[in-house]
Amino acid sequence: MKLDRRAFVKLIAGGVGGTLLSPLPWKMADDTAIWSQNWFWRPSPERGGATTASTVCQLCPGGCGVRVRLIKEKRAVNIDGNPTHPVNQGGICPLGAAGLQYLYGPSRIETPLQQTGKRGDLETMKAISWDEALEILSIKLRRMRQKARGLVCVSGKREGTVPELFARFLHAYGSPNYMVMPAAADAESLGLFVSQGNSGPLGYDLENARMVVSFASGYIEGWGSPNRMMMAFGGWRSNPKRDRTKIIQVATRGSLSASKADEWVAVAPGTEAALALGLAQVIVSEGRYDRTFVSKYTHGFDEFRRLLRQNYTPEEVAEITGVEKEKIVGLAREFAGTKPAVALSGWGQGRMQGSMYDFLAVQSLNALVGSLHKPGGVTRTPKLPLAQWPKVVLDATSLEGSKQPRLDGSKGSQFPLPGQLFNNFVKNVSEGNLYPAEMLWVHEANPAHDLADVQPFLEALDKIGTLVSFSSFMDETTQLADLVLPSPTYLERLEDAPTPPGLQYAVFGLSQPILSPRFETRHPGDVLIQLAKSLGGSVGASFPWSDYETALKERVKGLAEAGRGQVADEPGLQPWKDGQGRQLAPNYDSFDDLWEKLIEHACWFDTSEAMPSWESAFITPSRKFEFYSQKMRQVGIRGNDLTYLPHFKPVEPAGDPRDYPLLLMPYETMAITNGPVANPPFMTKALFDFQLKGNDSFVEVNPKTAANMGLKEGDRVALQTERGTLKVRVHLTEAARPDVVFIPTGLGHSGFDSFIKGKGVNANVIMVAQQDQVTGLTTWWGTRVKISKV
Amino acid sequence: MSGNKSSGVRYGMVIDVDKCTGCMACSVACQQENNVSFREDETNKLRSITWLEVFYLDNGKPYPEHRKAYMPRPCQHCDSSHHPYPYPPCTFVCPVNATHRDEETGLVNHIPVRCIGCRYCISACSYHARYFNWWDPKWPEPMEEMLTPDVSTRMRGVVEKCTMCIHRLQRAKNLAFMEGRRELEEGEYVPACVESCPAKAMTFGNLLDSHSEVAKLAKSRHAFRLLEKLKTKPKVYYLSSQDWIRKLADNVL
Repeated sequence: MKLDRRAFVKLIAGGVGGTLLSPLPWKMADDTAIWSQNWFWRPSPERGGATTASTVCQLCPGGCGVRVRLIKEKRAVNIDGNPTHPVNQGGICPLGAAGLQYLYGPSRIETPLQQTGKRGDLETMKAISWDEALEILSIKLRRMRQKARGLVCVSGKREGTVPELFARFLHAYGSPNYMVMPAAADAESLGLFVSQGNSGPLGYDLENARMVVSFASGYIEGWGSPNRMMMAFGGWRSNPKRDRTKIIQVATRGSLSASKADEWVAVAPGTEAALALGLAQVIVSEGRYDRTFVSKYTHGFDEFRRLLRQNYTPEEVAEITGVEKEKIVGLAREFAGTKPAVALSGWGQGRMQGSMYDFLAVQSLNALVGSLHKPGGVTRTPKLPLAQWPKVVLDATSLEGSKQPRLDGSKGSQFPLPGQLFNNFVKNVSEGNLYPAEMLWVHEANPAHDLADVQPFLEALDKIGTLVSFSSFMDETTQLADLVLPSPTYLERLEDAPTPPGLQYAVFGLSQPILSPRFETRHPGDVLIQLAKSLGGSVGASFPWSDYETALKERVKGLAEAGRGQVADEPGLQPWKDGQGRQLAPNYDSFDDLWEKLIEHACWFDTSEAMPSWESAFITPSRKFEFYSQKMRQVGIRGNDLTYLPHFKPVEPAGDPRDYPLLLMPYETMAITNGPVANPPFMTKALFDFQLKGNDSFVEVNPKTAANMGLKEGDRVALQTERGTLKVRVHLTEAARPDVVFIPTGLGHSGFDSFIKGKGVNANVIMVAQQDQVTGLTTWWGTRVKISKV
Repeated sequence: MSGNKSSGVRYGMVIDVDKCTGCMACSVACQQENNVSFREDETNKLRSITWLEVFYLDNGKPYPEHRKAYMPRPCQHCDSSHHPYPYPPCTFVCPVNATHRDEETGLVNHIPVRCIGCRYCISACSYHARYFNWWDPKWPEPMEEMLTPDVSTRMRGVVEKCTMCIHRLQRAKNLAFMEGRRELEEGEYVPACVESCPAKAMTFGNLLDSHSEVAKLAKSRHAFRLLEKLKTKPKVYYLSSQDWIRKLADNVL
């Protein structure tokens, strides 16, 4: 057959047409797609039966219940909120949701490490066995027993049996130097001590409040227990219009908390307390205060009234804060006229100490409108009915030790109040005051990154004998440690999570080892018990338990014996709904039953304890709420009338305004974690590209300020303060006040792994902290800065 | 007509922008639930994969009138761009049927193993909800341990997007089947993002069930959808009482 041109074209056309009409090309495309995706490097997760375990998240003190999905009971593949847990009701924050990135993260420490070379040199960190590590530590501790007071411990946790064991160890060993990382809770606890005679912590009945005035608190950005706050916010916004809770945010920066409030009152930097006093003045002068409370249950009201009249009239406060006079008056009337109304204090996420007087100013508002210890107001968190451990056994050395002055100067001659003054400890160490710090234990804290004003700490480290880190991750502080004792993560260990900050009812959460430890880690509680046993003597006798579990169970027995409270085992529990003081009959019949149920549901809660009555709430010398603090006088604080009254004490930020024309203020967001754990990759991914671009983080500048300085979006600038210089980029936003620039905290890690380190800058490096001369607290919130283009 | 009414099921979501606190939990929970890969540098947002992206909005007013809001954006699971055919724009253009709209649920699925990576669907999507794998995903040792077997990992060269956690629907259906039920109760099938939301700003359910929370909210006078003028008929609704937010929602991106 002859193949002519026509036949050839026909054949080709027919072939193409036929193929196209057949399913072949589509099938081929599909198959090719499938084949080309089945490479051996493609991760294919092992399959198997799925189970769920309940536990409590320990990544922050928020105490949220979480459920972990396990495959074959050995691989955790998901974390979500536990709907039966009353604190978070099934919600979860981004940090909690990313929890597995810590468990499986590359920055986990696998064995104990000893620094054999220069501090901070990771090459000379030698892996050692636990026996060796404990041997090294106990020999050192035995040798320095005569200088026992030189043992210092700083914990990143405030509440719970593990920090209590650390405090107990120091007590038994003979050192007064147990501290916690600085936070707004320090100002709160001192403020409560001087005005109410106890140290809190405060419990806010926010779910029942009808008006909330937040004085620079990031109420939906990590303040208190973050999930509980966001849930409360969702609740406020769900109320029908007439019951809608009104939210006022008093702050300098246009944060999300400001945007989501019904009203944002933009105040001059650091003047929130002045506004609080301005509101108090209007409430007092117009007679809108709670007369019963003020006349019967307060002390020093006349002095307070006089002070308000002299210094805080709306005109004067308008001058200080930049808020119009009419607005101040209107806000005051609304606050006094809405029942119940409550004022929140604690700057941002509450990670900065702040001034006790600022706290007192805000609390005086709560006192004036009768919101103390009342539904919808603020009370104190009920104490958990945990059983007490046997008393610490003391020998001559430990008795001597407890009489020693604390290295942070708290309860000393300069700062007689019982504060937590880690920054002052740093100062005393670098100046060589009191006595040397022979050894510093850091427990789940990262002061080398997180301290406001971090430079002095890094410099003071040279004068600290041995640095021991109890951490799960290679954070900045652990990198500098001489001895590293790695802890299992919260998913691999047993630990309690007592009532989270700001809660009005009692909660006891139990974190449990839902996975066996991945590495050669040891529970810090067990380490302390083993260490005490090897030291023997009174220290050993103070730790009579075989392990941490026994010690914890001994305390939990108290819950079983209290005859109140329930294990949270059904979704939708709302312990705030019917108010506090509602008796809850236990849904377990013995300690063993309680323990079993705690393992299953991870949470015990109780509303049985009613808010204290005004007759019994105040344990001050006058047995009343003291506007004018006699307690301060009692502990030996000398000063004029102002010293004992809530007042506005302006803080002058470090730096000469002529050299450093702008103010640099830090800000916190839910999207960047602060505290001992660093931002996990999932959260970093969720950041906007005007928060992090490449490895550059951004400073927020008002467009007008930027225009004056010739800066455009994305420009690279140097931020220079008295302390140093950081290179960042500019983000223009109207959230920034024209004379202030804002920088996020939590970035700029140099530790951890390649997914975390080097991203952005750590603002703490160039911040300069200030100290309050009455309390010793760090009252810093900003530093003067110069911006120049690079 | 939008959706297949005969099945009586049309899954949808309502996101209350006024309640959203911008915490990003939804975005993170989604990444964990769906084995979304991550790299050391994720700041090039054109290359970064976030099934549930959170948009930043502000009212453009000067300090202190400035207000901002965050708007979570999962795949909108559109119904139709070409009235009266209930097909979303992305399914229309796919040459290999890798993405399609499920008749029974109205969910728009994407089957990565079928995908040939032509990225036509990415350009067709009006909401930037689709992402391309420019690299092979790599989980640093030992992070592969945390991969869930419920969702397969995707390779370089394919597109991926939010599935409304359809594996959870399968799981819920299996469970119901074992209990001898044909229909799911409200709340039995909820995507990871909705479940995670601490402010309870997100609601999920059957839009055709008039008793469901989601159907009631979708009829609220504050409800709106993104770029409604394109008539893509998303099954993700938003709520806001703020005019400026509603205005931005129908803006040309």
